[in-house]
Order: sequence, then structure tokens, then C-alpha cells
Amino acid sequence: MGLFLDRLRHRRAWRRYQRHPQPQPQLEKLLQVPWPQGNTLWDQASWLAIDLETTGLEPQEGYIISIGWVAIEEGRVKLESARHLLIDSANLVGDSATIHHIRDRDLAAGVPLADALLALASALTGRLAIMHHKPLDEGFLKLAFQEQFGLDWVQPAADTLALERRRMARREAGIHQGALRLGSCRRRYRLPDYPAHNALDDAIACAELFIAQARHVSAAGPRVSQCLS
Amino acid sequence: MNTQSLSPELSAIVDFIRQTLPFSALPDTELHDLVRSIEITYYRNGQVFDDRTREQGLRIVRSGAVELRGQDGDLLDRLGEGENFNLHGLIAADPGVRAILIEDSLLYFLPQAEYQELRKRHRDFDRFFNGQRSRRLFRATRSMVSNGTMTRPVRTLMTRDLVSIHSSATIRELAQLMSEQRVSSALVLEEERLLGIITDRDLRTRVLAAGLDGNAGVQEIMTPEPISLGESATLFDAMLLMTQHGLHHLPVVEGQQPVGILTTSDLIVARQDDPVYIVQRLSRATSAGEIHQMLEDVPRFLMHWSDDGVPADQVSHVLTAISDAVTRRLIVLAEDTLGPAPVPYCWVGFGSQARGEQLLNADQDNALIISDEATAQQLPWFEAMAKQVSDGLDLCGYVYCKGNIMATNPDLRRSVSEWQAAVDRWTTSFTPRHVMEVSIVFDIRAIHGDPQLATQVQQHMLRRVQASSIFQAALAGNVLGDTPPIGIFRRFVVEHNGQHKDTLNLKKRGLLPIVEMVRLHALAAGISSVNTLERLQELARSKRMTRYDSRNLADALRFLMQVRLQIQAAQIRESKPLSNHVNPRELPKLAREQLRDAFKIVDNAQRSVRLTYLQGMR
Repeated sequence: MGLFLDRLRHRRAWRRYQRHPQPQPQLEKLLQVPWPQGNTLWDQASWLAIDLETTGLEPQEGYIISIGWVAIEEGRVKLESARHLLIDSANLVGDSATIHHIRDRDLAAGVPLADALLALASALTGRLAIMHHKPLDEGFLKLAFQEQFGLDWVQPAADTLALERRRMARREAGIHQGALRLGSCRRRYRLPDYPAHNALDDAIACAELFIAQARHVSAAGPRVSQCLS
Repeated sequence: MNTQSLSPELSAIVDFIRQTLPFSALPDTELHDLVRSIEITYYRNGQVFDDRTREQGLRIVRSGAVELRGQDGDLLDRLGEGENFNLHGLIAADPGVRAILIEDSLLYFLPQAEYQELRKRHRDFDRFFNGQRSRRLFRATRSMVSNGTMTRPVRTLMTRDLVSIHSSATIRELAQLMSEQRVSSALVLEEERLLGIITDRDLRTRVLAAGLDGNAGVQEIMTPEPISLGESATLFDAMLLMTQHGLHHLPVVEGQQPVGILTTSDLIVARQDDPVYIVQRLSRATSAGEIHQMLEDVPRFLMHWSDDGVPADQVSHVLTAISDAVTRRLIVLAEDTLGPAPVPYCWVGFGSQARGEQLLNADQDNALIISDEATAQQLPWFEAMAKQVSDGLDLCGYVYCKGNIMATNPDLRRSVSEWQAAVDRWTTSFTPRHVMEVSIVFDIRAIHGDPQLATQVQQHMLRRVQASSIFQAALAGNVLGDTPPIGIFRRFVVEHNGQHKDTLNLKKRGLLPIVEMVRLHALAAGISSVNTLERLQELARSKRMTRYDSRNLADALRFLMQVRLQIQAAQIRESKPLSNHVNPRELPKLAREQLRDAFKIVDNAQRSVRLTYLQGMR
């Protein structure tokens, strides 16, 4: 059902973007190439795990300071596809930069947000997204695509947090505070702790969690529609 | 804009791979490249990889555990985090091998093309994958060689700005050059080739003191064909070379071409407190008591070396060099009080001192070989000398030998021909007990005096043992007396009572069986080296042992020596008495497994000794 609605919204977004005075070829392609079908087995579909580092939790008040992503093909995390882009933004300050160990020097070496979004759009073409706690990252990306390109960004995505919550609810396991954090979820699948904390490391961690979750559904694994939320 | 140029960091993964073998041998740039080819996979407990598995390549266990099983289902190996397997490579060597996950596992997969490409480009990396089965031990011993100062290659410390002068230059030109460049030595070259070395000391003693003219050629005062070493030699090699020959400048060469120079002050900077300097100071000691004081710091050094990850064979090498120096100094002091020796002689060491395999609690095993020309009246000199040296050694911590294998024993203070006659007796009529007692004597090395005398006795020993398969069989019987402490269920067999309850004797059950087996093979092959690792190399070189067995035994020996070193270091730290006993339960899991592997190798080697030397004898 979710995928069906997304397709409608996506088509509407495509029609609207065709009237854009200066359309970006990367975005046109993103809007044209179809997504995998809902009844496809998960490991036959292409996925892109994405993580953002942001200042603040509200898209209207915060900024994206870095984006990391990595693709999954045939059930394997392909490190050759891994990217980590720091966003160059002069007005970035505050505690969040400290939290994410991003220093002024790193920011200076960053790329403009628009370029980062176009690179992300290319990576996403024909793929489904994976995020851990999708509402947060999705909100930032929707606003960014809207502000930078006037695009209504529509992207079906699996949310590893939601998948985990669903699984735990099904097992009637009590969900404790913090039980759905990325690290806590990973430990449940015996995935190793990752020391670092940047957008790419988290995207990879999220991708690994997704594979582990899929492998735990059944021998054949879930279908695409079962993964999307 | 080019987003591609901002390469992904992937540092967490690089860091992990870097810590695993054999990837630790690869340069960082290579690691960053290869990480990009990695595909991360996750499978559940029970997943099987076998000859039907499509994707070929190397699988590295990031988390979880894998069992490798042979065609018959027997367990070949169990791999944990950081270990890897190339399934198709294993199948090629051993058809029917399967890998089964015994836990949910995250695996890093390096595809075949990239994996083979790396093997082609890096020899060390490739070598790791030959000889798959005993890799755990190989890993263990190699990973212990960490970044200890002493094991760093010479090239990391040498000066590359060489000051050199052509062989046709005059002494005056040389002196000008040296003072301009403010260096204490210069190399004399002829067409890039190292001809000699001149130090400021040479300028003082060979020019000024000798009243030589400044117009004389540099060749007149240079030290020709100076002692040098290759740039991949370790700092330890350099220190030993300098100490042994009293050098302060050591040219570093590649082929014949000098590429750098190393000075004593470079080394002092590298390591202020090095025990190698003890060797130097020992040669100036004036009494056994003074020597004893100088040795005070040695246990502390051993502890630091163990912490630094210096390989145990190198630690033993140095500790043996120290006991050699102590022995030599005590002999010189004895000669001072007793007067010079009436006839040539050789003081020899047996056992671990001969083999260069001592650690701290070594007792003394020594003897005197006296020239045949000695008369009865001259012998008391040797008796008095032996007593003084042996007492001195005991005072310095090399306690008297319980088996009385000492030069103070008249049976071990004989002329060359008496020694040879004794060897004849041992090798023709013997009892098992007797064989055990004399076997240690076959590891023999000249410590002081005329080494020719020791060589004569040793050559005679080798000839006699080679000729007598009955004596070889007796030695083999002795070798098989000490069995490794693993039962049929691969559990450790530990002592059940007494002071060392629940422990096993690493030396008696592991090290000595290897040493004795290798000694037997070496004697039977007429090999004159006595150091066990050298013997193993020569056995492989002369095809008396397969390269595989030789390497396995070497790895097992190195590992056991390393564990023993670590035990001693811990005992020193806790001020406990030194012993060779270890409680397997107190070892980390991996070390316990590795210990088991080492004992397994000893066990296998003993079986082959039984086949080779005892066939048809029982």
C-alpha cells in the first residue's frame, strides 16, 4: 500500500518538476527510473542506506552537516559505493558540531548542499532507501530538496528502527528506553560495536542491521513490500 | 564539483582489517584500496559454504564464528573474529571442505579477483595463505612481533646523508670534508662501491699519533672492507655487531653500495637502557660480585622486552649473549689470578647456552676441552680455573648444575682425544638413563678459548651418531619420554598434586620435546648448528625434513618460547619465583587454543620420530 501511494506522489512530483525552468539531469533521472516492485525478494532489489548528521532535530531549525550512504546489492553491502560528504556551510555553529566531531576545518573542506543532494539523487536512482529512524532524516532531506531544487522528494524507504519495533512487538518483548537505538538493535543480532560516529559509519551500521533483520525473517527473506514502512 | 574526489573514510573497517593477519603486513594505501572492494555479508548460524557456493574469494570473520570441516565431517579449524578463510582454496587442497557458521556472523567478503591480485603483489601476504592448516600458530608468532624498538629495521634509524670521499683523495682533503660536514666518519668509495671507512678516531691514532703526512692517501688509514649490514637487518643485529666488534660506525649497504650509516649514538638515542650495553660493561668488571650487580637489571629488561613484543628467540639470543659474556669475563679474571693457561683449551657450553636459548633461570652446563699436549702437571691449573669460574657463575645466578654437567667434574675436563674416546663409549654401550644424561652434551658451543678444539670434538660426535642407528634409536626413545600434555579429548593433562597442581610444565612438556627431536634429526643428518631454529632451517634446506614440518615445529617452538617469556615477565612483575609452570586456565582463550595446537604439532612430530627411528625396534 505504502509503495503504491509513493508511486502516485512520485508521478505527481515528476509532472511538477518537468515544468521547472532549470531542471537538473540527476533529478530527472531519479524521477524516471522505476523502483523495484513490491513483491521482489529483498535481496533481488537495490537499496541505499543513508544517514545524516544534522544540527538540531527540526528541519526548519537545523542544518545537514554531513551525509553518508552505502548501497546493498544482492544482499551485500558494497563498500565501493560508500560515500561520505561533508556539507560546506558558513553558518554552521553550535553544540552539534562538537557532538559530531566536526571541526571548522572539516566544514571548510565540504561541498555545497546542492551538490551533495545531486550526488545522493544519483546514488538513489532505481534504489529503495534504508534509514534508522526515517522520520528525522526524511524530514531534513524533503526540506532540502524542496529549498534547493523545488522538488517534492518522494522516496520509499525501509526504517530499521520501525522494523525492529515491529519485530519486538510481535515477540511481545517489552521495549525499554534505548532498546531501539542503532547500537542496541545491532547487538541483538550479534553485530559488532562500531567505535566511530559519523554519517558513513552509521549508514554502514544501518545497512548491516538491515541485512541481519532480513536474514532473521525467514530463509528466503522478506519481500520488498514487507520491508517498507 | 567532483564528489568522487572526497573518498570515503571507511576508517572503522580499515582499522579492523589492519589488525588482522596477514593484512597487517600490507601498506596503508593498499588497505584503503582493498577495503573499497569489500562486500559485507551477514548469515545466520548453520549457514554452509561448500563447493556449490558461487562467489569465490576470501571471507574475513568480522563477528561470529565459523567451523571448517573436512569431507568426513572432522573438524579442521575453528575461526573467530579477525580470522579468514578462502573456501575454494581449501577445497583445492582438500576436496570436500565445508565452512559452517556456528554463530550468526558478519563476514567481510573480498572477491576472488582482488584477493588474488593482492597475493600476486605482496609476497608476505601470499605466504600466509600457503600452508593453511597451522595458520593459527603462524599468526600467533607473527603477530607477537610488534613494534618493539629492537626489532625495527636498521633503515628506520640510519643516516642517509652519506659523507663519502673517493679512494684517490688525500688525508687532508678528507679531514677538511669531515670538519666541513661536521661528521665523525666518512666512507671511502670507488665507483659507488664501499671500499673502506675512516672515523675521526682513525685520524687521531693513525695520522696524528703516527706522524703521518696529510698528503698521504686515504687508503693508507682507512679500515678496509668494513663490517656492514643490510638495511633490513634489525637494530638488535646492529647493536650486537657493534658490541661484538667494538665498532662505533656501521655502514648500511645494499649489495655493495652504501645506503646509510648507523652510529652508536643513533642507537643510544633509540634505546637508552639497553641490556646489550651490559655486555660491554661486563668486560670491564673486576670481580664476580661486581658482575652480579651489573646483572641486577636484566630481569627488568626481560619484562620490558616481553611487553614490547620482542620475539622470544631474540630475547634468548641476548640473554645467552649476556651469560657468554659473564662466563668469558670470569675466565679472564681466573686467568688473572692463576696465571695464563699452560696449554690451549676451550671452555664450552652445553644445552640451552650452546643453543642460544636461555631465559632467566638457566643453570650452568659447561665443560673444558684441553689440548692433547697437556701434561699431568698442567691439569691442576684447569681444575682451579674451573672451580673459580663455576663458583662465580653460581654467584651470578647461574646455579650449579644438578646433574653435575660442569667443568668442575673431572669427567668433563678432558683432552680432545679423551673426549673423543668418551663419545665412542657413549655411542656404543649405553643405558637409557645414560642416554638421557649425555644427550645434552651434543648441543655444544665454544664460549672461550680455542674454538678449534670444540669443533674437533663436535665433528667426532656427529660422525659417531650418524654411523650408529642403534644410538639414534636410543636418543629417539629418550625423545619420546616426554609427551605433550594433551589427552585424547584435547584436554590439557595437568599435574595433579604438589606445588604445581593444575599446571603444566611448559619446558618439560613442550619446549624440551621439540628441542630433543630437532637435535636427534640434526645429529642424524650431521648438521653442526646447535640452535634449534637454525637446525630446523638446515633440516628443511637439506631436505631431511619437509619445509612444512620444519615451519610447523619452528612456529610451535616460537610460540612456546613466547608464552614462557610472558610467564617469566609476569613472575618478575609479581616478584614471584621463576618457574616454567603455566595454568592453562589462566591463559586467554586464544592462547589456550594456540598452546593446544603447539602440543598437537609436538605430538605429530613425535609420531614421525617413532616411525623413522624406532621402526622394527620394539
